[in-house]
Amino acid sequence: MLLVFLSSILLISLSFISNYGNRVTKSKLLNILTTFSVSGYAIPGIILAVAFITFISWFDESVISFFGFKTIKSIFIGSVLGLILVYFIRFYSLASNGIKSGYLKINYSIDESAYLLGYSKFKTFTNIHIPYLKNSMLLIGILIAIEIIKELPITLIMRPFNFETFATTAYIFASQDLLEAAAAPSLFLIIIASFFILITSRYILKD
Amino acid sequence: MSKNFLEIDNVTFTASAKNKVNNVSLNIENKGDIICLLGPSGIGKTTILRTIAGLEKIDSGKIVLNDCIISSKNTHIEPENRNISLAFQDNSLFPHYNVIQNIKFGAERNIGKKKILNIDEIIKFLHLEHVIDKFPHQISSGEAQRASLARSLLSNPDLLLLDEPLSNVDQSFKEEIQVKLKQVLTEHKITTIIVTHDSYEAFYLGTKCGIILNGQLKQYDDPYNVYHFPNSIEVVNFLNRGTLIPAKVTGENSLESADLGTIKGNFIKHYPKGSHVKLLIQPEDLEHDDGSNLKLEVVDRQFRGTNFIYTLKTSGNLMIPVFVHSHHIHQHEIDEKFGIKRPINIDHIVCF
Repeated sequence: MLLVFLSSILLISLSFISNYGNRVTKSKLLNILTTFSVSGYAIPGIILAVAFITFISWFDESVISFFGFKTIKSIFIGSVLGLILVYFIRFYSLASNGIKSGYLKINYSIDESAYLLGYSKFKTFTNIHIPYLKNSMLLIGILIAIEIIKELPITLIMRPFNFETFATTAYIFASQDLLEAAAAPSLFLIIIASFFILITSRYILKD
Repeated sequence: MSKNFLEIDNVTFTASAKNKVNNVSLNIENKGDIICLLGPSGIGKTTILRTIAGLEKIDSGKIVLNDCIISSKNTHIEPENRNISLAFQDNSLFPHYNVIQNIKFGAERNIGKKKILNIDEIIKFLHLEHVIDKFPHQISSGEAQRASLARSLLSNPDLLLLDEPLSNVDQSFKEEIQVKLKQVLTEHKITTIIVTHDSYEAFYLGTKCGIILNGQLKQYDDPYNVYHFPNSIEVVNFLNRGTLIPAKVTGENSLESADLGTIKGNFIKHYPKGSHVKLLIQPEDLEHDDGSNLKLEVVDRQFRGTNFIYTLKTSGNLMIPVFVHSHHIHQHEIDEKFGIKRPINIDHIVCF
């Protein structure tokens, strides 16, 4: 759950900041970077994980060793940090597009009204945007949580030693034909996802 | 040190490459003055307000408020640091706060400052008592506009900018709100620039009126002068309250028109005897007289409550508006003849 929580917080925070940056600066470069960064959702998880490991290995061998620093492989490969980073690349599109569609509902004249009432850009962000997009954020957080809980290929490749999720546990049991043993983690997955969907429909979408 | 409260010095306001208001120079002399800007839709009036508020930058000229340059080619004070408030024409209330919370956002700016306006008083005069607990999506556009106006008033700005502030307000409230708004602005010396396309509103509220046409500030003067002494045919056509008829100057105080005969009055500009001019006839310039031998054909009759406006056709096929009080029913129907009192005397003669 901590993994889900940390990944969701990171995804929502960074996509919030990048969307806000786009809105305020209207920078073309930022817009291109955002468009490029959402492409991760189109790439299969297994390819992302392998690409990430390959990149870190190359970077470690060519750049880090060139400067004579200690290896960074262990920080990013087979660690929770590496797992979160690949989840980030994979699910950034989900978070970013969710925040973007929330922002599209806020007319820009609302920001301008805030400035004209003496609010700085930061204060407008904290006092106007965050409260307005609170529900969108929760909804996106829940969708990301559901995606991460049931995510398999990235987790299988990137997870640290002795670290299992419900999805990997169910997969390992199922691959050994231990279907009864695989039932419990699978059911937990379903119960947690259903609980999230219940919260979404009862409280967030209703509000 | 400048003697003017606000100085707009040779500024070009740019809304888009095609839509510009060029080289505007305009001063607000005293704190508490109310300036109304009139012009057709899409001419750039809102852009002027947005630029003064700091939401748009300028490439030339300068804007000086209270002896401080707020905009120039090299200077741009951010909107949040200008203490200028702008009430937008469209609903710009914060959608996730209710009306009273939205209004209080304006008051927040005044924390630590001397309060000049009371929130309850403003809510009352803008008839917002019944909607204060509602959210912006639950109220009408007129109510949202009044709430936005209340928020701007409460922010106690150095300069208040109002973009069509009463355009969505019900007619039943409009005049009452205009009266109270003027009282509040005057009493508390709140310097205001109002953009409107309603000339009656501009003439009532404004200490001065600016007419913006074809990308230029055509006239900037007292409302009385703008109406009675328009400085160009464009301004006459924009105000749409009169007709230009061909006439010949026959003396120091007289003209001769083929359609109306001799017209006497005081010229506001000198024209040499014998020159051919276009004479402005406004609805109140001609008087109705059934006994007159100058008869014109009634083409249209508009009942305006306090008065009728007859549109009369001359022998030369010119359409002339004539104002008649409506204290008794006029029986002149369309196609009937309508007498005009002779000799025609016009207090001030405006020609082009």
